[in-house]
Amino acid sequence: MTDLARTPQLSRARLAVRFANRRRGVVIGSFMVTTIVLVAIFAPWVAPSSPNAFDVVNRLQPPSTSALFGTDDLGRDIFSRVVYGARVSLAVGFLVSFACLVVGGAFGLLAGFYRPLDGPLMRVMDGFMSFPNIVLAILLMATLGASLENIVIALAITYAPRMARVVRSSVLQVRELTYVEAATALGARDARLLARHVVPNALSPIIVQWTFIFAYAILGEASLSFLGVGVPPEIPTWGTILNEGRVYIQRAAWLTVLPGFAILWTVLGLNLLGDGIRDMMDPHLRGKEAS
Amino acid sequence: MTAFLARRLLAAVPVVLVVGVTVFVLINLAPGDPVQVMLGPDARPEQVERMRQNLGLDQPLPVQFGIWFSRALVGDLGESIFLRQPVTTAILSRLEPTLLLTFGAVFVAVAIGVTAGLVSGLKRGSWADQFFMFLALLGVSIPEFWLALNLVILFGVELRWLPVAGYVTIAEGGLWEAFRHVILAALAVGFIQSALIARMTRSSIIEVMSLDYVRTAHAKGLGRAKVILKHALRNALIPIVTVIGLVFALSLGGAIVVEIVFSIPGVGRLLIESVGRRDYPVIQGVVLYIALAYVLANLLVDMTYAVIDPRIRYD
Repeated sequence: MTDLARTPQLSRARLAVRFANRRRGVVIGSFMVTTIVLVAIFAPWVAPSSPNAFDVVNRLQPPSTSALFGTDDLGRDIFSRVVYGARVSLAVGFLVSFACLVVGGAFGLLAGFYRPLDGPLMRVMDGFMSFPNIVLAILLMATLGASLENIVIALAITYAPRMARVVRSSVLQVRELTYVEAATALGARDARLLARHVVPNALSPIIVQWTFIFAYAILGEASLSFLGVGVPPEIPTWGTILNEGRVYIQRAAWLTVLPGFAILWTVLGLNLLGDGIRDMMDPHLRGKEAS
Repeated sequence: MTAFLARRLLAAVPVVLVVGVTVFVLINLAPGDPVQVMLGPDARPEQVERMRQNLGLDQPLPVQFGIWFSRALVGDLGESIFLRQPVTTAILSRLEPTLLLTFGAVFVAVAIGVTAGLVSGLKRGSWADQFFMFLALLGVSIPEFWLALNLVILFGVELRWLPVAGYVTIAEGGLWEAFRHVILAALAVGFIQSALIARMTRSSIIEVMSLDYVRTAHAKGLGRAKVILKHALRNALIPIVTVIGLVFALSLGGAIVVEIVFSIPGVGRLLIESVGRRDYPVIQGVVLYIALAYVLANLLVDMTYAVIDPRIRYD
């Protein structure tokens, strides 16, 4: 922002080029995420056929111009399945990250702002973080049963503590600042303090964490569905497609290689975006070339 | 050091207790009756009732938990419903491949991560830095199991260098043969985890290289290699070791997914199979074991601090 403000004589186009050069990560990441979101939204127009249309005559066909990613054991077009799978995988990622923002955010806010609550709340969060994410998610899925709603719940519980930690630490920093003290002195109530002063100023690390949790959730859904404890197999998601393809790994490698690129593309895009935003927000790096 | 160890081990008890309660409550909330699963849909009600009594499942939940946890503390995790053997035996018999895989993965992660981070940090902004940091970004973005599947296709199916599935125990085929069966899995998990180590090593080295004592070491005429290895790296090690501890724990989790890809009969596969069979005692036991491994890994990291940095003492 300061860079742009300092150079008012440049045209908009040149400013855009300069921004793109400095913030390559953000630009490339946004591009990658946007394309996959567009693919998901316009799936019926992008996909050449229905994701569940059987064509037993053309089963296990390698990639060709008629079937871009090849076909599976039931003759279904893998490209169409990946395109429709984007809808489910992105929806899971978005819902999980949103739930983490709300639940983890609320916990972090309470722990950071009301000191007596800090100990008990954060110990609960630590408890959830004291075993590997995937194990907690598997355990929750075993309890809840495999379904689309349950995978969102399981992954949200798994990743919410991360958000709580980030929100807590940024609230802890902000609440000690002079302007919060000033607002308190002027008689602002807690709700106003939080809404007007603390939350807006603690926002940037939270946005960064949000993109990372979005990425983790997509990886998490894929892993759980791949293990067969996630989304039911009839719903095409990137995880279920890879799980089905695994059986034919010796005969039809395209079933596992190509759909994986969809996950890689999306998660890489989200990570580039998150890293880029963090660099932009970091006052130490601001104004320097982004590396 | 002994007092510190005792204190830390005592502090681990509540953590394990919290994990134990969480697991126990979650498992008991799960729909589906394990006895019904065991006996099949045709079982008579009195058969089901007798089995429930035998397994202690007719007791109130807190009582069941009390019995389970007090036995777990002395290493008795109960009997597997499906395997008809003690849970501890089931876990121990699957431990070898998982441990071999985890240590292999940590070795790969440290070798790639520290090298990449060191080169990146010392040659900041160079093409090597950009290359390694892109590799690290790939590492945090690739799904472990997909990387594993690609390794299977490349080294197992196409080149036929390494076995693609299964495991041969050290007792059956010797250490090398056992290791051959987990190399690809360890590479997959290790590469993913090396990303964390590379990033941490890079930032840690960049910070240390700008400090006064490094300039002094240069000024007194020490060779570059000596400055880097004896002065910079050693002081940059604390955050790196912390991440390595985390990587150990993450590898343990990553091993679960990758064991399925390679059909390695380890603890992870036992967990997934038990979820499918609703074999509750085994699920509880495996999760408790993993939580314990997590706690021990962290303890090991804390003890390593004192070895790296003599200023840190645990008296």
